[in-house]
Amino acid sequence: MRNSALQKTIAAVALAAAVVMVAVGAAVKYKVYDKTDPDFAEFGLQTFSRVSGYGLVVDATFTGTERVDDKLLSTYDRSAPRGKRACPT
Amino acid sequence: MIRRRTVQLVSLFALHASWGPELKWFCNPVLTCHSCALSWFACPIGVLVHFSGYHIFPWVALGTMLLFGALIGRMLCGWMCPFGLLMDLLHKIPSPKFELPRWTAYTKYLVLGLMVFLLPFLLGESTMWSFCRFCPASAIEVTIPGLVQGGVGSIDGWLVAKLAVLLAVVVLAVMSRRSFCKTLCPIAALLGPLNHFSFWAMKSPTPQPCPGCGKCDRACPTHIEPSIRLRQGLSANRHENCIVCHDCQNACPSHAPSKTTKAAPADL
Repeated sequence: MRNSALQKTIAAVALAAAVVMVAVGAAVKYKVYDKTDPDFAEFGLQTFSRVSGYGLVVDATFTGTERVDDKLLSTYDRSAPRGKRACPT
Repeated sequence: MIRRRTVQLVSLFALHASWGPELKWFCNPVLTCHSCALSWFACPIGVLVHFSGYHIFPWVALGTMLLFGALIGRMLCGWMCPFGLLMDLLHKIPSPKFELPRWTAYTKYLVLGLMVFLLPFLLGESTMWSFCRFCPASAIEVTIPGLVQGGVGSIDGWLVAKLAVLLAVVVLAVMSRRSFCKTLCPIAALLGPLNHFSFWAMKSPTPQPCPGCGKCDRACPTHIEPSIRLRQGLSANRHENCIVCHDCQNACPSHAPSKTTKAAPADL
């Protein structure tokens, strides 16, 4: 059974879109603020890390990031070496 | 069938064999919880729930799903999904069997829209109304082991609801083939429409026109009558509920090598 030309075209467009989306996920960076930064409480300064789409995917697997007031906050110390983590929920 | 079952079993163990290293940046498009201590990959549904809560477009998760869907449609549902294997095995338990009404196949789109996208978007990624909070795969891989570890003291109403959903899914799977995949699975809802144009097109097992013996219809684990599409000259997998298992192809008398076939006198 052969695919029609229309099916092949749609599949090719979908595949190209998928490759673009995966590439954008790697390229795009999000500001993730440090929730536990002591300078924030003292001076009102909040440091942030730029995390890629793939980094946020990893965070999503153990609720490593949360959204508060339109800001993404990190729930863990990103400078510490990361071991195996389980979802806290 | 034996080949598919072997691949399913190998996948079950391979996907849950991480002794420490993780590849959680990769959204594997099958229903297996990334919170399982032994899992290698991220669950795309869990990631979508979180990204909806973050109000961020899920480039990676949707891109990965689209990539696999455009190439092979729902083949991973039939060959790799551990929860699909459980559904297949549960249906082998002797019990009264029935088919769910056709309209129930549309409920998975509601589940996807509401519990994966809309409610986490409105209520935040940690909402109790997301799919993950009721996911039966998560109940098996995470909640029950957690209960064994933490004891009955960790039981609350939400946990009871999650286990009740698991029980309902199991009971329904015993009586109706692949019922969860057909009616509730959000991965099936995402990948299903891609079946209509994926590069993977099953070849017709029989010379046209199909004689219509119905053996493929009876072999189909999702009861989507592949013979209808074969008679229309379409690939059998051009249906959103097809799991591309190829059981219909193998059941076709024109395709399957018959063990009882004897050589004709002219061939001797």
